[in-house]
Amino acid sequence: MAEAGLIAVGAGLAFGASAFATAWAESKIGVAAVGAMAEKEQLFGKGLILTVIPETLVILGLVAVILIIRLAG
Amino acid sequence: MSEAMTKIRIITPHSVGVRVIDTLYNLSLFHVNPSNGEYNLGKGNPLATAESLSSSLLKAKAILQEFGSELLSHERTFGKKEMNQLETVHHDVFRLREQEQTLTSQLQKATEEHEISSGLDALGIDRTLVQKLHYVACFVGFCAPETLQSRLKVTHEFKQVPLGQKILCALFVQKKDELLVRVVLQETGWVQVAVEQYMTSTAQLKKQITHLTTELRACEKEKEQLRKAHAQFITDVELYLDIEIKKAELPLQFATTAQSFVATGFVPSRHLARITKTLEYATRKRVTIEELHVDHDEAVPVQLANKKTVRSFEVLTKLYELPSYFEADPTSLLFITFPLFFGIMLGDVGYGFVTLALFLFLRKKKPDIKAWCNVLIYASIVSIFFGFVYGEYFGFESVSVETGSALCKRGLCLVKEIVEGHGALEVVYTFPRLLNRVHGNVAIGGLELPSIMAFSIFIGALHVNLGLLIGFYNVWKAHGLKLAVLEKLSWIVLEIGLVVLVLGLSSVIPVHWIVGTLIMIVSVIGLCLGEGVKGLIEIPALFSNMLSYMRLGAVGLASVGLAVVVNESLALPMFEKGGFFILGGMLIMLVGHGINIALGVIGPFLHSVRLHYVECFSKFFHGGGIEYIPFGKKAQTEGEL
Repeated sequence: MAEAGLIAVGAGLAFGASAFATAWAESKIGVAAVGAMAEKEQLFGKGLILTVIPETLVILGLVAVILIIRLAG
Repeated sequence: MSEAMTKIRIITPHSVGVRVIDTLYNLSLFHVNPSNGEYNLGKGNPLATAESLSSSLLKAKAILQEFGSELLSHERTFGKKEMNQLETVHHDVFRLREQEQTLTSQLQKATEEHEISSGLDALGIDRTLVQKLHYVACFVGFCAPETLQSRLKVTHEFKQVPLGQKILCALFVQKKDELLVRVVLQETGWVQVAVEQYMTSTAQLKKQITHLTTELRACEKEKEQLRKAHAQFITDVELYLDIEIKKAELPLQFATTAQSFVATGFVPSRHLARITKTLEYATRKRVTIEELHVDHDEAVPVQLANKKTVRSFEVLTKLYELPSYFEADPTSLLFITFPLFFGIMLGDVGYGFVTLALFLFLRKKKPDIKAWCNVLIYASIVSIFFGFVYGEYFGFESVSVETGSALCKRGLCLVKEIVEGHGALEVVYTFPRLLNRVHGNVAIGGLELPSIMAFSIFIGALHVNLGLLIGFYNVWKAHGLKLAVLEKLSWIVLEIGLVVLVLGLSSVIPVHWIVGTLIMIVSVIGLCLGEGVKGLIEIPALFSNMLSYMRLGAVGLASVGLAVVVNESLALPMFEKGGFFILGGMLIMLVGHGINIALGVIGPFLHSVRLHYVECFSKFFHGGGIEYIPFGKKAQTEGEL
């Protein structure tokens, strides 16, 4: 039971840390993107892409979570 | 696909220049390429009429500003007579404006004078007598009585009367104290009123005000009559002049010689014959039109030309960037995969129907966002389809034994299943489904993965490779087969090598692992030759791109999670309590599912868009296309799609 708890904590840490990293990166990019869009509205598409690029981090976090649970559990 | 364009050069003598410009305007097909001074030809000058047209346009704009009316303009043609009428209206409007300004200032002056004069009357000051005083000095002005009275000890006679927000004061002092009082008054912010300037009687001033007001009203009435009679005419004239100036200034973008001008630009290839015929007819064959070769580095204008059903998805392409003329238009791909990804993520029959109804309603109410609504209508239909695939209805995958039995008695039998819920086993009736996205697992290489995740990665691999194949086509068209194979096919070969290696190692296929490794080495060499070092750096990105498609499952699961919380943890306990709690439960369901539907539209939309723009478009799309804007009448707007 204690082992299962540790696995859950590990999975939670993997997901939480990657989600935090994504949020942190996106906040920085988002500010710049909104600033650029205020100057030129046509930059919406590019701004959106730049903002969502760090999402890969959380997706990889999700992969790590699945692997932790399936391999360890 | 984008419309095929032909670059043409039109050479015509100055004598028929106006006719050529008029014809080009009416055709609305010629996208002008401004002259860049090729063959050392000078730039053209505006037509002779440009200056007078500009002056008339300024007048029309000034009149419209004076009228303050915003009417819808109609395209009409006007002659010299109407231009003279414009001059007359302009003259009348500005005569009235000047008159109005004079009257207003006179009225303002008379009103002020009347106000002070009535104040003087109230103070009981005789204007003639005050000027003849020898032993007494009289001060009249605006003051703050409290400040003044606290400072002034020599006051003999002090009167005050409120006048609007100010207070008019009169002060009578002995002549010998005059200087002293003057100093004190200056220090207390006294504003002197010169009594000798208010000799006109109050009654006379009132008469004057009435007269001026009547005149001002007559002036305004006349202006209103002018506005009613000419506003539409002037609005139409403004549009006409605007168009005529555009025509008159068009030669600025042409190259010119002493006798002729040379216009270069692009026209849709399918209309070339019509343009040639019309221009020859208009100029009695005094025009030469030649087709020019288009280089691959040239900025050719792009007009997306998709079938009606696909056309709505052009908004998604334009949101990113217009494709360059020489690459494939990704709109058709978006038409297939955008709703597919949206549907995989939302995947709920109930939510799908709600969003479908919402966007059908919005399409009717807001014609300017019709294209966006069409995109989301398709997406909603696919969501309903995937809702049936997953067997999800407003987040419910199953119903209780009682409801299931009741439904079965009425001929709708669901699948009886034993599931683990709240730590105990219970019997439920589940909706029929092809894929259990919440609990379904699939074993891959001995590892149990959620089936929706495996399905998502599989879709991702297909999508990324489709992007690579389109990229292969683009490079092949632009730079030849060799580079296309090295730059794009190497990626696919690399993937094949990896699959062969993994399957070989896990003994699924009887192939030695060296074969897979060799295939991968060959593809990496190809990549180095095709894309250089950048290709090597991008290798891990190819696989992270495919993993990125796991969001197709993850976003959907988050949505299901929220729906289950709303249904089972919040609403159902309320329903079980009965009575008024049922109303509370209904409210919770309404708000909870409302929020989930809003998130269910925003999330899948953004993630679907992102998967295209980042993961797929990066394999083939360069963008940077310039929009095809023909000289002439305004092109159709997006809302008219």
